[in-house]
Amino acid sequence: MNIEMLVDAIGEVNPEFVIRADELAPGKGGVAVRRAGLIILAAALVAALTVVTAMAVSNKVREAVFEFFKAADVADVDNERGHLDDNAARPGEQSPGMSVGSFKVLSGGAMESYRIEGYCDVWQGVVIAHPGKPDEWWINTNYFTPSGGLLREMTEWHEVDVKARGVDVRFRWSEQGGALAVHTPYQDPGVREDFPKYSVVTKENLKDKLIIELYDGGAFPAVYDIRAGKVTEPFAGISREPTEPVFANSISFSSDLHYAIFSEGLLRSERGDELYLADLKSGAVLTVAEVCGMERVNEAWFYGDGTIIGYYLSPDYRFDFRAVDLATGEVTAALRDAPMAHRERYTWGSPEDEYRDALLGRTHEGVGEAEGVINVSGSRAVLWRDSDGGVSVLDLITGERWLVPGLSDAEGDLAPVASPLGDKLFDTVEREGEDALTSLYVLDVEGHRLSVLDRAGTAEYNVVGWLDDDRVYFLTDAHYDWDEDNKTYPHQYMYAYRLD
Amino acid sequence: MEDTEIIDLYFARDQRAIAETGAKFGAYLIRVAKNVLENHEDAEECVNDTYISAWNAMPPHRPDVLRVFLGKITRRISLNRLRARRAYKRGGGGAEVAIEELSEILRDPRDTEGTVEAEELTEAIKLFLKRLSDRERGIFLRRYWYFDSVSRIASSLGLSEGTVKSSLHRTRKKLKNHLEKEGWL
Repeated sequence: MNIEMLVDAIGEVNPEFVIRADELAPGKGGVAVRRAGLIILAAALVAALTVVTAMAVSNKVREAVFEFFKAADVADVDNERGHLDDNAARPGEQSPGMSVGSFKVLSGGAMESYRIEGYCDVWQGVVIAHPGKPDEWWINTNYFTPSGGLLREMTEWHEVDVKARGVDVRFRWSEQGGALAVHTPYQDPGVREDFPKYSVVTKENLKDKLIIELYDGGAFPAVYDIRAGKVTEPFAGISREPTEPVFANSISFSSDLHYAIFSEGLLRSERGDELYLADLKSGAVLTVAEVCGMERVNEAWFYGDGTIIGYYLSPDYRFDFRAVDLATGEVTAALRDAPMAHRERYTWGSPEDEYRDALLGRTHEGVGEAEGVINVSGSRAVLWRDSDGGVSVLDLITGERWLVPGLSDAEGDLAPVASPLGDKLFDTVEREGEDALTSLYVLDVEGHRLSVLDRAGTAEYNVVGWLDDDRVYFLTDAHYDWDEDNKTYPHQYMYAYRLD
Repeated sequence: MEDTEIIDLYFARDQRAIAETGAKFGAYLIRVAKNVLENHEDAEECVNDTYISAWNAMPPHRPDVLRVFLGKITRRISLNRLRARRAYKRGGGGAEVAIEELSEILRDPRDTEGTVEAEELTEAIKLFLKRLSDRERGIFLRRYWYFDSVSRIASSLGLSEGTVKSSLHRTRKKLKNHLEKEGWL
């Protein structure tokens, strides 16, 4: 079999899958990630536990499982094996956890007309219709961020009516139970002719700030500070001349401007060959850098103290790595011009890692041979996986390197999730052995501490993430039997811990 | 116009079928083609070819889901054009990067020795996708059916790019395991 055969076979899959994929919307696109392959070597684990803060299955911790969620949907854990129990009750039974599959749309069945039904998982539970206004349906467009957990009906809403780039923006937000929710009018030109040309969303790492995405003449982000009640428009000076049309979520709009947000509160936008950066704290545009003579910007990342940004380009099918000074917008000389042939040995098999390697090799010589690195905080630190599978936290500014005791990533599967502040990581670890027991851990990047949250269980984990800086959530993996067809148990259980 | 009405126009050999198809699905098909080819003019040509193919296919074929039927044609035509243009040279953008990600699954992405029954392989892929969650499958297909960029998938789903990459990485690994188990690798 060759790659063309595989690509063609994927093209012939069930039409309903193709349609549902295209109709995935924010909140329904949470990632089903099966945590596997990350190994803690048994011997090393013993050593590691000497520095580990074990937050095992104490009553205290269990009590923290989760008053946050609606009581009707969550039950405490009371079975002997702990909450990670494959024999746990199925939906409809007395469940020890929250059955994701049994979640319901909070505001009733009218949503069926919008084809929201059928996403029988936790995200369905956060579809919210506006009570009392049956002709105005609202859908929350982002979940689990920044503190997520919109698994309860919020009752106290703040109405906002502001202008951003001349567009009247109406939305409402609520902050209850530690969760920040935003409702924007449902956007579907097929349903409402006057669908708004904006969407307001929460973003990771941006507490107290909401992003207003404007689709009117371009996809321009503005920022709404919920404390100050003010809108800032970091890119107000940027032309909104239409470029060739692009399409997103079946809504067409002009411009290929898109943006990304970094944990340090920096906003990046790209349009064509132009690259823009804004500081969300000051609202100032730091850089308006034209990518000089380059064919295309593919990606950009921050490194170190945020003073440089790298991007790669692909003229002539070769990747070119350059740096931009954020203060001046000056493009420096290429750091490296490497063909893609060298990329396979990197953890993620992507040029992103190759760039990091080039950068690290330039700025942090002597840290040893690296198989690959993983950016864990979006800025200051990276996880470094060495050739033996050992995992280190590498400070990009100081070059300080901390080998995490007992943490090994021989399979290259390390994929922790950074906390909103970026100083802690949350993921699963799997012990070697017949049972392949899995545990959860929190790695304090700055405090150099590894904390195991719970004793090992037999269940695998699915989604893991942060509700806020002190709370993590996770889903057990769906119960699929891979040996027998049509014998699947697509039920997941959701839990969360407060890190005391 | 309803899909069935458009299909009826094809069967009636009424050329309004093309106009109605373009009005209803043109933007969607352009997106599919442009994701692969990264060029608007090429994408438009592929979409025009799609209309011709659809005209030739209907009748006798009566698709169950017109949108996906057309999308599959556009995807195939676009990929063929891409293959002719570049033969998957490394380091390209868009679909080429996605295809290269998929090639990690295979022992030899350029293997021409093994004989594969396309229909059986498709069934294996269908079975694999059936076992994925909606989100895993959705992200996978957004990347490898539609060839959406990681950043666009992340942006449209309110996720970080790292989260999307992580999902794709793990789904590819699952697919590799599945294909090995099924004897394809």
